Amino acid sequence: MIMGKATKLLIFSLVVLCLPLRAFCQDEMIIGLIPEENIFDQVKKHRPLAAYLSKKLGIKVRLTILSRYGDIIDKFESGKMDGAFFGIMTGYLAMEKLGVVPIATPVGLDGKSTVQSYIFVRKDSGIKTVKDMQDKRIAFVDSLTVTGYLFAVSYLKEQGVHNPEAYFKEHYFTGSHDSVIYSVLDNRADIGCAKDRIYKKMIEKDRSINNELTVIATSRDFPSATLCVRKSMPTQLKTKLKNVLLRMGEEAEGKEVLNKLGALNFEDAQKRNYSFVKDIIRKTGKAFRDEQEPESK
Amino acid sequence: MRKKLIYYLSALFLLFTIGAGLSIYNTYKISRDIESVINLHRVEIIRQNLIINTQTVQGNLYTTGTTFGKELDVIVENVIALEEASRNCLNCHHNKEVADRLNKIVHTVEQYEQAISQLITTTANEKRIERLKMVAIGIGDSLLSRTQEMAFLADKSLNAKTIGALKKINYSRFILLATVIFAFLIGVLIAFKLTEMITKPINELVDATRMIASGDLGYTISYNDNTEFGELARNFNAMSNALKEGYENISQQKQKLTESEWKFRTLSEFASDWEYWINEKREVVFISASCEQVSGYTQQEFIDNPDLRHEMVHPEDKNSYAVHMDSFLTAQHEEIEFRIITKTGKMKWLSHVCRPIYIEDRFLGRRVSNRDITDKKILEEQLLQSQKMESLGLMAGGVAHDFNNLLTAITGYASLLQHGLDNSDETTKRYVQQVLNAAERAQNLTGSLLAFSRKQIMKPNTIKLNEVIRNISDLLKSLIGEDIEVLITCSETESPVFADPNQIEQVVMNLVTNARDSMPAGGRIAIGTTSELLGQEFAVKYNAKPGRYMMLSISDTGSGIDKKDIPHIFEPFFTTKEKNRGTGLGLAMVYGIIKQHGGFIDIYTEKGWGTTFKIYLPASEETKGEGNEAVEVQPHVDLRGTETILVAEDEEAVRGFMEDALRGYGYKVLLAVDGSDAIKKYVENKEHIDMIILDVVMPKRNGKEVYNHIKKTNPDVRTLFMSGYTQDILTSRGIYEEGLEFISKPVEINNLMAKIKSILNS
Repeated sequence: MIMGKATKLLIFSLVVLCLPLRAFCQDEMIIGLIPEENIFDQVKKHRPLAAYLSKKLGIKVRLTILSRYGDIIDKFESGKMDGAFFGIMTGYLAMEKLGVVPIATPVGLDGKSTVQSYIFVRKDSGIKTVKDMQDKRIAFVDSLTVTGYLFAVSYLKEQGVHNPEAYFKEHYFTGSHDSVIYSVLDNRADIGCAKDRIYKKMIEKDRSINNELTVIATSRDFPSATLCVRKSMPTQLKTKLKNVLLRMGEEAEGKEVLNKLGALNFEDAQKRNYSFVKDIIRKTGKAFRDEQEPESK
Repeated sequence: MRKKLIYYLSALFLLFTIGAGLSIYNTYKISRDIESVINLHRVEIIRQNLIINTQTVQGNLYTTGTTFGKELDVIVENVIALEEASRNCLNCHHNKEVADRLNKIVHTVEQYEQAISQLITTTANEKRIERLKMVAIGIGDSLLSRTQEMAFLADKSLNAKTIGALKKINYSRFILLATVIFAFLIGVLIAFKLTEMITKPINELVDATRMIASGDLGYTISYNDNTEFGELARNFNAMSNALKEGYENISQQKQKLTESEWKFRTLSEFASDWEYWINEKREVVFISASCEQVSGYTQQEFIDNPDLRHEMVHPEDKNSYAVHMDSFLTAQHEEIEFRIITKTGKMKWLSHVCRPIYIEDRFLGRRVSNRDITDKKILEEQLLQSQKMESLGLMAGGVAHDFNNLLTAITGYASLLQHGLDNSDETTKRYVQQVLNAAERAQNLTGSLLAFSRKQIMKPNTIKLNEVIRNISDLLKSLIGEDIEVLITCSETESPVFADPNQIEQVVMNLVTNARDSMPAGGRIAIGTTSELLGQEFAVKYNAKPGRYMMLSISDTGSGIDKKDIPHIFEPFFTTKEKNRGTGLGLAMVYGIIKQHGGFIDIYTEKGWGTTFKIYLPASEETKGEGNEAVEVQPHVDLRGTETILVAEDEEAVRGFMEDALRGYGYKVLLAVDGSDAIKKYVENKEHIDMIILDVVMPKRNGKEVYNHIKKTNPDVRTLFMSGYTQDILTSRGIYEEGLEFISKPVEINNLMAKIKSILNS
């Protein structure tokens, strides 16, 4: 069959157009959520965002909650996720190891896109210093969190506690920041280490927490969770995703979603300087996620 | 009515509104109850979902980490569904106790979530994990039991409420049905009532109008109330009564109008005057039937030819008539006289009175009245002639009287001179004798003048004309001569007359002399007498009294008299003879004598045929009633007829008279102007002609010739001959036969009609 020039041109155009379209044509985008707080709250909080992104991107955006911070790397490695809201540590590891691309960072209601780590105790525990912490029970979030573990370890080490695991009577990882706080509140742990945003959020929900707990140490600012996507995601999709997120605050629907998310807006997440993570790792002496389940003494 | 309508309609709409409202309310209630039941069942479903979700999550917890364990996302979805179910339950219920329970459940669910989250996310030793798991399961069991307990209670409540709701639904359905039926019935009733309120009066009105349309004016309806329909009915009744009244008035007016019109028509049609009305456009809008009597043209002929009334004007009067027509639009009342030529060619004089018709200031035309004044004109002419003759007579009498005196002197002195003359003076004696002879002749002339002026001394007494004629018969024969035949026919019945016999003789002598002079080559002179009874018409014509007369006729077969000379023949000194052949006083004297005797003279003459003088002398008072008539009129005999009669008469006046007289007696008349015309008219109309009346002496063909011609085709043709000449003269001229019906002119109407009747009945 002899094809005319116009027909060939048409076919070529279709191919060219379909390529990015094909590349763009993924049925679903799976975004992972780290168990920063109660996993159910985490899912409920991010669901409106997923629906919004589904509508704006034209593809289904599904959330998947992870039971542990560490699972995020595995899931990304196995390709079961297209993107995730990475914490500091996990984000660093994902960028270093997997080459994930940061897209956007939510700006908190306080206008900040950074977080701090609190070390806190019950007011009636009598613990005021690190020295008072000895032989006490300490609850962490996860070994792959900065605000929920690495800062505490680093702080302890700065305070002369070089073997945190032996210093305490018991230490365990609750998996989420709010469960650390509940652990201390419920006296299941004496000391806790959690993200300030979660801590403040819980106090907002229950003012009595402020009467019961006290923060004895506060870290510097760290970058908050950032949405990163796999580097193999089509550029067009990445760009569109970024644009949607960055412009969410410009429309009412977006604003509502942000409100439910607990954010003012999203800001462009440049590849931040995570070199401090290396320092922290170096200081804590912890390497990659090779942490054994802590045992009580 | 408007109010009633408004009330009824308002009631109807109110009823429907109430019904609709009740229906809507019940529908709302029903739907609310159904909704409540549905919600209850939804709640039940939610509760059941809550239970199921709780059981599911419990199952997830029990199977976490096992082959049957669900993925975290599924567990998260289940837990979230559980929370939503619990919150749904909370949103549905408002009962405090139940709400408290549900709040507790929600709180428990939150605890459950927290426990599960901790369990899932905690990295700890197995003991801790197990502990966390037990905590979560415990919370879950607690949640489950609470939920089941609530569900049980709710289920009980739901059943009760469902039953209650269903009862209410049934009740509402019943109410709705009852409302619809009731509203429908009431609505139908109201609609029926309303319809009746409107249609009843309308139907009555329709029936009433139908009755009125069928002619029952004044028909009223009985409907009456305070509504607009009642008012309409009252107004209708008033209108109907007014209509009846109005119709009766109109009928009365119409009746009066018809009577008035009938009166007018009757007057108009029976009026002898011909009346017509012309509108402002000069169109004839009314013309009386008498137009035919006057002009001979019918009403339809005038209608068909609007110019006819102008066309029939005599050519000599057209100018004056045109001048009159020019003043049509003026407000002047005009009276003119002009002549017309009737359909039969007769000339008539009309007195034309023309009045304008105005209604307020609007000119509507003219009303014209035409009266036949022909007789009046003839009478005027006769009067004028008579006055002229009277004047002449006076003058002649005066002259004669004076002249007689002079003659007396002349004769006297001549006689004296004669007596004193010597016998030897023959010449002088001869001269004196000539003077005496001339004086004697002059005396005779004055005598004639005096006779004309009726100044002669009369010595009348009762005489018999026949005797007078017989007395002078010999003298007459010697006067006439041998070449002229004299026939004397005296009537057997005679009425004496009161007259001077000498003067009568003089009259006869003069007339015979004239007759002789008109026949220089010889001829015949017929002298006759008859006794005649003259009727009113005849008397009026001659300005004489009706009654019995003796008629003395003297006819000749001479040259006749020119018609143009006839008005002058009785004037003194008028003569058609050669110079010195007459004094011109003979007929003047005859006229004077007869007038003096109270009689009158009638003349019949035809140039070339001869002349007949008929002298009528009134019968003596003593002997009136004697004598016979050719035909006596019996008062009880009906002389009217309907037959068609052909009249042939060349004299226009006589022809006109015959036509008027015969039509007046109901006969149909055909006219012929001469003998040839008579034959033509007869041939054309012979099937319709019942009788013919023929003037004996006519141009072209005489009456006898006409009769002979007609007799060839109709031997039994009924014929009446008429003439001014005596039968003797006519017979001698061979233009009349004995035995034929004859009537002498002038014709007396009764005699004529009786004659016609007798001929038709023969």
